[in-house]
Amino acid sequence: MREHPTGLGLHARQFDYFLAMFVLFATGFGILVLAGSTRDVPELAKILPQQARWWGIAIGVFCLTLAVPYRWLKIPGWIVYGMLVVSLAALVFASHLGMAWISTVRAGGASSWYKIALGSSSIRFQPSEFAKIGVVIVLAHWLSLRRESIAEARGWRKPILECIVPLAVAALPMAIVFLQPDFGTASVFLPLPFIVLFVAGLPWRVVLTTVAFGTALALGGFVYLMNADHVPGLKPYQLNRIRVFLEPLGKPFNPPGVEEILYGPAQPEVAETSAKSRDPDDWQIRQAEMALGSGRLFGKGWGQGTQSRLRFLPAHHTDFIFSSLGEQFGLAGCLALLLLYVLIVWRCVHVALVASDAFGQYLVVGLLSIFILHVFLNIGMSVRLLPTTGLPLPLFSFGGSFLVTNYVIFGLIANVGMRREPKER
Amino acid sequence: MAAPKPMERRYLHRILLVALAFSLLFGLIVGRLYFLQRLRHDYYVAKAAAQQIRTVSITPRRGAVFSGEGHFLANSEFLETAYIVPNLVKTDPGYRHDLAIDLADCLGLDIASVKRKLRAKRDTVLARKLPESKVWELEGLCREYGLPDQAFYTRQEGKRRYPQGSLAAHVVGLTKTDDYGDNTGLSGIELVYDKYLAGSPSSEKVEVNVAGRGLSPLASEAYLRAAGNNVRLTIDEAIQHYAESALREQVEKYQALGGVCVAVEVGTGAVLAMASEPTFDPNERDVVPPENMRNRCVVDAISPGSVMKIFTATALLERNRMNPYELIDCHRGRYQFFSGRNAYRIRDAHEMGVVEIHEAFAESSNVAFAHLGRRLEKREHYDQLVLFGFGSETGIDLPGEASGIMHGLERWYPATQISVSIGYGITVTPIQVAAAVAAIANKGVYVRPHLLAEIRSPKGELVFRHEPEALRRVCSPQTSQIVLNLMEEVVTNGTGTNAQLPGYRVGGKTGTTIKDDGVVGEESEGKRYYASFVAVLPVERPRLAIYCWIDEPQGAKYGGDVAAPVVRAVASEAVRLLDIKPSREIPSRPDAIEEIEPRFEQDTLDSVLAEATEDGPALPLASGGARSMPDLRGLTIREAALELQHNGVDAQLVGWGVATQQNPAPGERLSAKRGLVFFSPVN
Repeated sequence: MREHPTGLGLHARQFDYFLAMFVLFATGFGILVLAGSTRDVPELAKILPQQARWWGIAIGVFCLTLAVPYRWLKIPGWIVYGMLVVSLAALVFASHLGMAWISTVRAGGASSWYKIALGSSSIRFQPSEFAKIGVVIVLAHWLSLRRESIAEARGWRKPILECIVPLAVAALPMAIVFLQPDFGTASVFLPLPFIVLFVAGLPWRVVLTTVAFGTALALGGFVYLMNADHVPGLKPYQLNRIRVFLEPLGKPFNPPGVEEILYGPAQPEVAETSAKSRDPDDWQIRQAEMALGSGRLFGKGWGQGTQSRLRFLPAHHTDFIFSSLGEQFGLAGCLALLLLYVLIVWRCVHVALVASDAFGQYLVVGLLSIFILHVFLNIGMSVRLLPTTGLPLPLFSFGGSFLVTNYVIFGLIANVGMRREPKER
Repeated sequence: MAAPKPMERRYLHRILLVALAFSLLFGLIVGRLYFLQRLRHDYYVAKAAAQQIRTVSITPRRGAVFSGEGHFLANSEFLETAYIVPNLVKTDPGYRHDLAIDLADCLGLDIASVKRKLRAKRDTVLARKLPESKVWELEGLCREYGLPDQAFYTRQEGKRRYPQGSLAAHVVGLTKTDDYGDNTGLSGIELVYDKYLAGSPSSEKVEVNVAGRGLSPLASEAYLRAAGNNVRLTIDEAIQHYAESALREQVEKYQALGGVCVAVEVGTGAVLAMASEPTFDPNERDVVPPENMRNRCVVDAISPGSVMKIFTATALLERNRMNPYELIDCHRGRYQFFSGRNAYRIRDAHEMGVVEIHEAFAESSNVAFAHLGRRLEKREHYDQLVLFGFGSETGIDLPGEASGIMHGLERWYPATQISVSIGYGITVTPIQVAAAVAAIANKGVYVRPHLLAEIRSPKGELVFRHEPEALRRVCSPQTSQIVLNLMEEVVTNGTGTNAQLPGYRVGGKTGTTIKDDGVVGEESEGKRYYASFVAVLPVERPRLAIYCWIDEPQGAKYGGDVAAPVVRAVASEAVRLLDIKPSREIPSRPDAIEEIEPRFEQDTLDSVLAEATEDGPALPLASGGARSMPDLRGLTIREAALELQHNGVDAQLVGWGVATQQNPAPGERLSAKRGLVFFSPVN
C-alpha cells in the first residue's frame, strides 16, 4: 500500500487543474474578444497590453492566494472586513479628505475607486471588490461556528435571530456601496447571506417564508417604482434604469411584423434609433440587444463587430463585453462562454462537496455565489433580463482590479479544494 | 449508511440545490439568447444596419485643374467648420468651465473666447477650416463631456485653392460658393468644364459611427464617386511663366496699360501659354479690381494693324496675284487713295521707293499693301479672311470669347478693302491671330485652338481626351512656305529684328496700331498705340506661333521695339523647354553675303545639300503626285522662285545672287522631299 503523499505533494495532487484551466481559458477568450472589438477604436488601443499585464498580476496573486491555508483567514477575515468597511465609508467622503497621495476616481457616476500614487504611476483600487470577499469570509466563519444552532433551531424566533448577524454583516457594506452609489455591486451583496444561510442548514420553512415574502416585496416594489415620482435613496438615473428595464413587463410584447423582418424596420424607427439623444439608458440597452441579435448564430467574425467598432455599443470593453462577444461570435460564442462558466461552476461545486470543513464549504459557496451573481447580473443586463447595473463580466471584462479579485476568488476556492482531507481508500 | 452524517455532510444536498438554481439562471440566459440570436436575429440585423448604414449626402470634391506638366493650377480641399449649440450644453458653471478649457486647448483658442461662444444664443461657429483629425478630437471631447449629439456638428466645405497664385489665373478662372463650398464655375476653365469639375453631390450609403459620421470619408469609394473630374490643360507651366513675366516686365518698362501674349502649338492648336496683363492672384480675388480678371486674349478684339499683312499676303499668293520678288512702288511712304469724294491718306514708317514686295513686307509698307490689297476681288479677300476665322469665335474652350468685327461683304466699300489690307477696319482677338498664324505655319491647315488636354476621373481613368481639330485648309502648303519666308525676312532684316533668336530661324510680323479713329498711318504725338508682334518658329518646321501685343506703351510704339522682345523672350525659353533643335542655317543678312566669297567649298556644299534634304520637313505637295525638279542653275532668285512656283515645287532658296547648286538634280522626281537651291553672288 502506497503512502499517501502529504504536504506540498498532496496539495499538488489535489489541486484542481481543470478549474485553473477553465479560468485561464475564460480570461484568454475575453482578451480575444477585447482585441476584436478594440481593433478599430484607436482610443482603446492601449487596453490590450494593460489587460495582459493585469492578467499576469492576477495569476501571481492567484498563486499567492494558494500559498496561504484558507483556515488561517478566519480571524484576519474579520480584520480585513472591518478595514474594508471603513475604507468604503471613507470613499464616500473621500473627496473631503484631501489626501495628496490618494485620490478618488469617479467613473460612471459612482466614486468607487481609490487612486493611489506610486511614484510616477498610480494604482486604482476598488475596495468594494474586496469587500465582497471579506463579507464571504466573515459569513463563512460565523456560520461555521453557528451551524449547529442554526440547524437545530426550532420554532420561528431562533432561526430568525440566527439570521441577524449574517444579514448585518452583508448589509453594512451593501448600504455604503449603495450610497456611493453603485447599485450593481450592492445587489451582489444582498443574496450572499441568504445563500450561505441556506447551505448552512436554515430550516426550510424559514427559507420558503423568506422567498414568499421576497416575492411579495418585489411585486409591491414594482408597482411602486413604476408609479412613484421620486423614490427616496434612488438617484433619478437609477430609477430610470429600473424603469427602462421594467417597462416591457407592463406592456404587451410587440413582435416585429413579417414585413419588418423582410425589409427591415420602417423608416420612423430608423430615425428613432439614430437619435440617441433620447433616453441614454434605453439607448444603451437597445444597442446591446442589437449587437447580440445581429450576431446571429455564428457572429460577424472576429473584429467585425460593427456595433462596437462604430461606437454604437457603449462600454463594449467593460460592462457590455458580452454583447460584443455575441456580435463577433454569435450564439455559438455565447454558448461557448456559458459552457466555460458552467464547467467552472461544476468544478467549484465539486470543491464545495469535498471540502473538509464547514468553513471551506461555506467559503466556496459564498465565493461561487459572488461569481455567479456577477455573471448573471452582467449577462442578464446584456440580454435585457435585468436592469442595467454596470457590473463587469467576471474573468472577461477589461478591468485590472476586478480581474485580480476574480483570481483571488478562484485562488481561495482552489485553496479549499487543495487542502481537503485525502479520500480514504 | 445508517450512521448519522457528520454536521458538515448533512446539508450537502443544499449545495446541489444552489447549483441547480444557478443552472436555472443559466437556462434563462440561454433561452433569452436563443430568442435574440436565433428567432429574432433578422429584426436585429435590420435594426443594426439601419443605424450603421446611413444615407448621407456627400459633398463632392471639385476636380483639380492641372497644368500640362500635371501640377496643380487649382485644387480643392475639404475643410470642416465646427458648430456648437450652446442651448444644449449643460448650464452648470463648473462643467462649462472645464469644457471651455478643454475646447480651447483642443482648438488652440483662448478660454475666454470659447466661453463667449458657449454663451451665445444660437448655433455658433467654434472654429473654421479644421482638418479632419481635429474634428475627431473634438468629437471625442464632446463624447467625454456627454454633450448631446445635436450640440456639436460639423459641415464640410470645399475650398478652392490656387497653389501657383496668379499663374494662368485668367485661363483657370474663378469659382463661386454654393452649397458645397467653392464649387460653381464662374469664369475660365472653371466655367467651361464646370460640369466635369463639379462632381455630383450624391447621397451614398456609408457606414457611419455613432456620431453619424462616415468613417475615413476621403478614402472611401463613395467620396471618390462623388468627386469631380480632374482637368489637365495644355498650358505649359514654364512657358506660361516666362510669357507672364516677360509681358509684365515689358508692360512695366513701357508703363503700358496692359498686354497679352499667346503661344499656340502649331499642328495641334494646343495653347501653351496665355498671358494677360494686368493679372491677379485668385487666392486674393476679393481685393482685385474686376477689370484685372478679364482674359484679354479672348475678349479684347483690336485692329491688328500691320500684322494683318500676313493674311493679305496669303490671300494674294493663294490666288497668284502677287510674286514676292516683283517690284512695287511704295511712293516714299505717302499715298492718297480716292474713293468717291473721300480721300484716304496712307503713310509708312519707313520711306521706300520701288522695292521688291518681300522687302515691302519686311519693312511693313502700308502703301504697298494698300495697293496690293486692291488686286484682290472683294469676295476673294473676304473669303480668305473668313477662312482664317476672323469675324467669328475660334471656339476655344474659354467663356466669353469675342468674335471681333469684320463687316459683311455687302459693307465692303473700296476703302474697306484698303484699310483691311493693312489691318484697320477689322478687329481681331489675340487668339484668332495666333490660331490663324499657326494655320499658315501648319502648311495651311487651320486647327482650332484649345486649352484642354484631357479629363480624368478622380481614380485616374480617362474620361475625355482632346484630339486636335483640323477644321479647314486656309492656303496651300506652297503659299504657307512663301509666307513663312516673307515673315522670316521681317526678322532677319526687317522691322522685327528684335525677335532674332541665335541659332533659330524665326518668322515674324510687327504691328503698330493706332488706337484712335484717326488717319491711317498718321503719326503724331499724343496718339495711343497697340504695339504687336507675331512670330512663328522655327521656320523650317514650325512648332510655335506666338502673338503678343502691348496696350499703350509709353515712349515707344513700334511692335518691333515693344512686343518683339516679349515674343523673343518667350521663344528663347520655349525652344529650350520644348527641345526644339536649332536650325542648321543661321540666317545672315544677304547684303553681307554679297560682299564676301561663298563660304562653302564645293564638297562641303554637297554634303550640306544632301544632309538638308535628307531629313528636311516632309511637306506634302499641292495635289499629291510626284513632280520633277526644274533646272534652276543660272537663274536669279526671282526667276527661280517663279519657276518653282510654276512647277508647283517647293524648295528652300538659300543665299543671294545666281543659283549654282540644286538638290534634287534637274529632272529628278520629287515626292515628299523639299528642294534646296543654293545661290551665290555673281562675280
